[in-house]
Amino acid sequence: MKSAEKQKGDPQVTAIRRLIGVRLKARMRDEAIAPAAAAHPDDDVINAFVEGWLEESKAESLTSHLVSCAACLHLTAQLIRYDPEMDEAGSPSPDVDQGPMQRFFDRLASGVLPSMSEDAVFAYQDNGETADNGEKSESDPNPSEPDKKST
Amino acid sequence: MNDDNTRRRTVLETDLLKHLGSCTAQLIESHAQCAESYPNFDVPFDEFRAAVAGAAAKYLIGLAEPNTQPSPEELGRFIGELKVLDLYLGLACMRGNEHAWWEFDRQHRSFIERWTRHLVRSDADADEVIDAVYVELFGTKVVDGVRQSKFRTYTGRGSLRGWLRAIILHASVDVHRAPKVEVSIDDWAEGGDEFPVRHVSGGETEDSMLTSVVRERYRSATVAALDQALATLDDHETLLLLYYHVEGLKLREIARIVEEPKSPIRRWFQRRSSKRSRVHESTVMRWLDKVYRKVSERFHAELAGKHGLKPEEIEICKAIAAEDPAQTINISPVTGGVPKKEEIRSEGAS
Repeated sequence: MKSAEKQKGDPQVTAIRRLIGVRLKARMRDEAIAPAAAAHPDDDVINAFVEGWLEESKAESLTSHLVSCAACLHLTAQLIRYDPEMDEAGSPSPDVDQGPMQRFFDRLASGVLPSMSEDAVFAYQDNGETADNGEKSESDPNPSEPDKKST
Repeated sequence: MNDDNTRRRTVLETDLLKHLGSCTAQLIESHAQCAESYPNFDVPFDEFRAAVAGAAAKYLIGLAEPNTQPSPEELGRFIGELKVLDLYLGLACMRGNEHAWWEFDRQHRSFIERWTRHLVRSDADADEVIDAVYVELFGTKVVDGVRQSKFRTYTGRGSLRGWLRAIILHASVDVHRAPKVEVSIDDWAEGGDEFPVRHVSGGETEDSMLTSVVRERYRSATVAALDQALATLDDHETLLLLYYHVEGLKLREIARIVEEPKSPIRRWFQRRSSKRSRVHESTVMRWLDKVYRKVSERFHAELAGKHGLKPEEIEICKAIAAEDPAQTINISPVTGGVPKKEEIRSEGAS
C-alpha cells in the first residue's frame, strides 16, 4: 500500500516526503548513538501510552520524549506493531505439569546441572558430530532421535 | 528533582492518600472482587490500597498544573479504569504466592514464549531472554529484607499483558544489545540515511571541484532549511512522521493507535479534525499529506528567504538531497560567482 501511495500525488509532496524520510532517519540514528538527555519512561508508562491510558499532560510529556529518543520511539513502535492475534493464540495452557516456581528454579538449576536430554546431546557430540548437530537435536521435534544415535 | 520539588511532591502524595479515603468504598469493592476471583492469593487490603495510591501518585499528581492533585472524582474514575485483577495478580506474585505464580504461568507463560520467540531468532537466545524475564519478575535482589520483584513497577494502569510485552522487548534488547544496534543502523542506512556528500579525489578536475563546492553549499542549505521546517511541527506531527518514516509503521497500524478511544494521539487528532468519525488508512494519509505540505511550504520559504535561493536552485537542493544514483542533475545558473552551468552525473550513471 505504501509504495502505491508514494507513486501517486503531487510530485512536490513526493519529493518533500522523501526528504523528510531521509532526514528523520539520519536524525534518529544520531539520537540512538548519543546518550539520552532525559530519563527514559519505565515499561509501565510506555505500555499505558501505547494502550491509550495516559492522561493528556503525561502523554504530551512522553510524546516530547519520544520525538528525541530513538530507543523509546522504537520500543513504542514495536508495541504498536504487535499483532493482537498473538494474544488470541495465547489462551491459558491446560497442560501445566509443574509449578512455575518449581520450573523457575529448575531452569536456574539447569544452568549448573545438565538435564537428561542434555546428557543425550553430549553423548551425541562425543560420537564425533558437530556442535550444530547437537543444537539441532535440542530442538528436534522427535526427542528420541539423539538417543538412538548415541547408542 | 531538587529538594523543594521533592518536598512539594511528598506533601501532594500525603494529601492524595487523604483524598483516597473518599474512595474507600470503591477500593474495598475492587479488592473484594479480586479476592473472589483469586481466593488463594491473600493480598491484604492495605497492600492493595497502597498499590493504588502509588499508581495515582504516579499518573495523576500535577496533571492540570505542576502542583495540583486529583479531585475525589478524578481519583474514583482513575480507580475504575485500573486493571485491578491484573494488579492483584501482580501483587500476589510479588509476595511470592505460589498459587499466584501458577495462575500467572497459566495465563501468560505461553504468550511469553511466543512473543519472545517472535522477537529473538534462535531458541537458545529465546530461552535466555525468557529466563532473564522470569528472574526480573521474581526478583533476585533483596533490599532491606524486601525482594525487588519487577512486579513492583506494575501499577495496573495498562494491561499486565501489555506491560509484559514491554518487559520482554527490553529484555531482548538487553540480551542482544550489540547486534541490535548494528541491525538498526543498517536498516536506517538502507534508505540512504544521509544526504549525499561528494568527496573530491586527487584526480578530479577543477570543474568537478567547483561542482563539489556548489553541491556542498546547496546540501548545507537543504539540511538547515529542512531542519528548520521540521522544528515548526507539533510534537504529535513529528511523532507520526517518525512512526511512518523511521519505524516503518503501516498506515493501518497508525490508524489503529489513533482509533484507541483514550489514545492521546486520537485526542490531538480530533482537535484538529472537523469530523469525529472512524479513522481509516486514508484519513492518516490525508493528514500526513497536510504535514508534508506544511513542511514543504516552510522549507521553500526558508531556502528562498534565509538562504536567498531562486526557485531553480531550490529544485537543485531537492534533487541533491533526494538524489537517485541513476539520475542526472542539471545545475542551473547561480548568481554570485558560482559556475554558470554544470552537469553533475552521479556515480551510478557515469
